[in-house]
Amino acid sequence: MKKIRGQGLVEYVILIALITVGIALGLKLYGVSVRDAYCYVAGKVSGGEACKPVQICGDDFSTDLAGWNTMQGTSGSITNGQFCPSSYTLALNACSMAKPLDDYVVTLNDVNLSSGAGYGIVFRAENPPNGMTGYVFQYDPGYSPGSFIIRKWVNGRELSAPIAVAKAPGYSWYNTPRDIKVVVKGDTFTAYVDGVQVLTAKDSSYATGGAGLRTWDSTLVCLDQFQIQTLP
Amino acid sequence: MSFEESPSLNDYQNGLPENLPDPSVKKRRFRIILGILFGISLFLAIANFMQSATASLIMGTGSIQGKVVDGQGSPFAGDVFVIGVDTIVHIAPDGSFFLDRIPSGDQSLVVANLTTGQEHPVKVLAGKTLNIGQVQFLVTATPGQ
Repeated sequence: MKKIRGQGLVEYVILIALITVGIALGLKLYGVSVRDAYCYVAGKVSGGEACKPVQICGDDFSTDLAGWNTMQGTSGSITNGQFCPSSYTLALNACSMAKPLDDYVVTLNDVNLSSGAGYGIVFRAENPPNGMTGYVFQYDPGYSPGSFIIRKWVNGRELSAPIAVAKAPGYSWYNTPRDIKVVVKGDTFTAYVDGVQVLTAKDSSYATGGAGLRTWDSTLVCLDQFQIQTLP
Repeated sequence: MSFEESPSLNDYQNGLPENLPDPSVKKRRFRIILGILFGISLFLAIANFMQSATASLIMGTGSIQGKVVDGQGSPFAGDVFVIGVDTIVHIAPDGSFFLDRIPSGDQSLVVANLTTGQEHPVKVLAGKTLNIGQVQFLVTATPGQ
């Protein structure tokens, strides 16, 4: 008589492995990370915020600028515990450049623009031999009539047409401390000033990279704190 | 199976029934499910791979040619490259350029001077040369503005 056995352990292991691989590949296809999916499901189950943001890199500018790599222009200075890049500066945060970052939130606290055409937060930046690639969110009173814009950088050059513009005529650009936040998630970038969303853009040219700061023209700006956190 | 659903002894007073369920059917069904799951995983893996740069290269490469002029219509002195491709080509004195070995598919061609660039979406076909004709490079007054 033929001996018939039930399902073997190996078959159950293959079943679980195939389900896991299928879910992971499906999420990747739609640009959703496993962490995001876990946080979403866990949040729904627990009825709260399952995954709290965790700081990846940061600088409160209490000592020096050793954590910054100046790519172009001047390195700026630290004055009264604040980082004050001035005129033409392009500096990348060394900690973020050393990590394989994709989705994150960049926050600048108490950013006070005294004069000049504006400043920018660099994100998804990489620095290959041909020059910096990435994106920059710009707090840009110099972009007529005063605008929030997001630019793309390729091989060390900025593209002349911004990928997103939000004109803000009459906005109080100067001598008002601002909290700036840029949420970088998949191909979507959303900028907030003092907690208010001012701009959103989509672009899929760059999927990974660190963050930094830039100023240009005759800009005088100082800021208290720079932080990169995981997405909530 | 719960106790209430258990067969009664009365069901077997004439011996075991002849048409007992075949245990191999359950095993066959399980393997069909495994096969379907494997097929889905394979399909998703291929779909993911097709989005990669490696897939673009396997699908073949093409070329892009054209001419770049400045705001006055004179040949533009600068560079041309494609986002995501390492090669940078310097534009010839007559404004013409030729970019070779560009992965097929939708690409972003950039015409640039030392500080700024202009992006032009193009579709490269494997084994073909795309002629984009003449493009004009207009310089912004101040970088960052």
